[in-house]
Amino acid sequence: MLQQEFVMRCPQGFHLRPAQVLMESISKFNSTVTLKKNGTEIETDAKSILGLMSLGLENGESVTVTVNGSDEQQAMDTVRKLFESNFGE
Amino acid sequence: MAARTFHGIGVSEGIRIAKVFIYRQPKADFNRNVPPEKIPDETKRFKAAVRGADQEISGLISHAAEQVGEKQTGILKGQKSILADPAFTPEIEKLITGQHFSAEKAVRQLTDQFVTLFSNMANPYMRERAADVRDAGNRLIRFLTDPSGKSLSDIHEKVILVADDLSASDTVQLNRNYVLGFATEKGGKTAHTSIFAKSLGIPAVVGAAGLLTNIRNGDTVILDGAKGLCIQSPDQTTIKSYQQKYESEQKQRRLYESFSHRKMALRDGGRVIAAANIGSSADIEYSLGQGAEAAGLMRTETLFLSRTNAPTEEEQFSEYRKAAEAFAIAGPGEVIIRTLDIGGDKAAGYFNIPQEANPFLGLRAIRLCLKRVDIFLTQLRAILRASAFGKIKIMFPMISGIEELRQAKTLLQQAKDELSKKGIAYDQNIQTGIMIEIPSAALMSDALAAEADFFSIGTNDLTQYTLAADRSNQSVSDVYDPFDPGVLRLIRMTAEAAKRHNIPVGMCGNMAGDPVAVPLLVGMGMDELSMAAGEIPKTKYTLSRCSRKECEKLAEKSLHCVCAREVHKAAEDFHETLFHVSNDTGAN
Repeated sequence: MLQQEFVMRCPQGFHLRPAQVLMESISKFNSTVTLKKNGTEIETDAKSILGLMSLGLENGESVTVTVNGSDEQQAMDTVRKLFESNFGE
Repeated sequence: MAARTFHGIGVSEGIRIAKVFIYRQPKADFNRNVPPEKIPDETKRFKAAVRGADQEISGLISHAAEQVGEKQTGILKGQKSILADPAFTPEIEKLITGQHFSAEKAVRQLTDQFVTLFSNMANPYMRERAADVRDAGNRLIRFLTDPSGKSLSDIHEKVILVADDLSASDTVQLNRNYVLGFATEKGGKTAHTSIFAKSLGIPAVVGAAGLLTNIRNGDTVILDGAKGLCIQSPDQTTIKSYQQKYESEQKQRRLYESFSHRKMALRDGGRVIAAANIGSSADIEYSLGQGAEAAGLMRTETLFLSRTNAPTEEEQFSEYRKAAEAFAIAGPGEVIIRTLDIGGDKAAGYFNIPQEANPFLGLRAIRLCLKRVDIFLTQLRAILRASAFGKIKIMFPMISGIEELRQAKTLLQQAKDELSKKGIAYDQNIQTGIMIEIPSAALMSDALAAEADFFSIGTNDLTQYTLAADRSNQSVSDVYDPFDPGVLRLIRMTAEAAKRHNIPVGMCGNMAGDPVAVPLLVGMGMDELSMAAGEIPKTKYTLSRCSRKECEKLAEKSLHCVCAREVHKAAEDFHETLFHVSNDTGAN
């Protein structure tokens, strides 16, 4: 199991497009990926667009990402790249 | 099968003969629980509904591109991905198995949860997703309650639509090329559905009981929008006589239409402006085609309904600008935009209007806007910005006294200042007027005329408030009568105040499109008549046959009548004389 914290750096927050990008990139992997909004109990499956949007993550807020499964390393790398590139915004 | 006639209220004239398309709004019980032993069946029922909804959406997507355009496809694709989302249907299933909810209750609960969550988000993109979730949920509900039911987007041939009632979101989906007319069980003369039918110029009958229990999909019916009849499975003789009526109606229609593109004028050359009431920019083309010289009332409610957040300034601006530009090019004609006229009876959830015992006497229209200044200022900025692209006037609805007008104008000034500061263009001299639809406004019209740039009389509400008769209540429909001399005296009082202060006065209620009422209204001094676009050709024709002197005489006579019946008699007798003239010299 891998765990890492990321900060959201999209001026518009985690709106539909970044959520869609994350959901689509993660759906390729077998591992389960969950996002928990720091400072809250709100947690979601990263393969759910509705769940991701329900986080209501605004610019500057942080999440803890937990990856668990056979391809967890590649999955976590993908998540890191997306957050580092600000989802291409 | 024997012919059978259903009686309702004719709200939009015309005769049509066609096959029936039955539309049912899904009715579901959202409070039901399921006994534990039935849960596997309930889950199965739910899964079948998901499959059905998913297949339907796929089918619609392939149709949609050519039928309704790309934008609609996007919405459908959004719904499809919601149905496939692990946070959606699996969570609904959990509510069924874990909480023993019926499938309908579970769908409603989870949908509402997401809708509330998204609607309250600061981010506008997210707020818009609430509508997608709502639509996906509604589709599932329909598959659960009425799997054989058809959606309005399934209509691909010419039909007469038969339904219990139609909502605002139903009517925007109607394909005007295929729906020749409609008949509903519910509704009254001034209900939303009726206004919609009139503005489209398609025949309609509302309030016809028994339609849905007797009529089947594919039955042939005759719809008589003037008499308020819907005849099921008519015999050959009836069809023949109606076909003849249809043809003479079309002939009459062609005579009226020969007047559509003339300016509206009296026999002696006096001018009265013929304007259209429009519900959105979608009505512009039809209105101009019918010969509208202006838009005397552009309603803005549709933009605000069936959604979970108020429309943005950009969204409103683009809508208002379309109208301003279209009428500027065609006319040049002006567009009177009425600020939001909504109340507790139909306001969307985001207005947070508490339950009211009498929404028509409650927090609505300008009263609501003066409380929800954020929403009002956004609308005012959008209207102002559009005023740079044509001739726009602003109209405040439901003004009851001068204080409200002053407050509204102060906010308008604030909106202007905000735009000026940002260097955004707008018409610095934009005119602001008011609706006269509350008796106190008519009684105080003298004071109001000093501070308003124009008046527009809304007869539907003025009649209901003057006579204390709910216009949607069938049991008092005999009391509700705009020809009542009490109402006429208020109209006259308003017109005289306008003349004294040298401001224009028009009318934008149903009465303005009634050929029997039109000479009377002109006689009382209306400068503009704004009506459902389909009424314009006939109104131009009617007025072309009267002189101002005759109209004034009729008005004088009517104001001395003591009851509505006497006024009807006077107006109808006068109208009759016009028809005699038309038989001698018309139809050439």
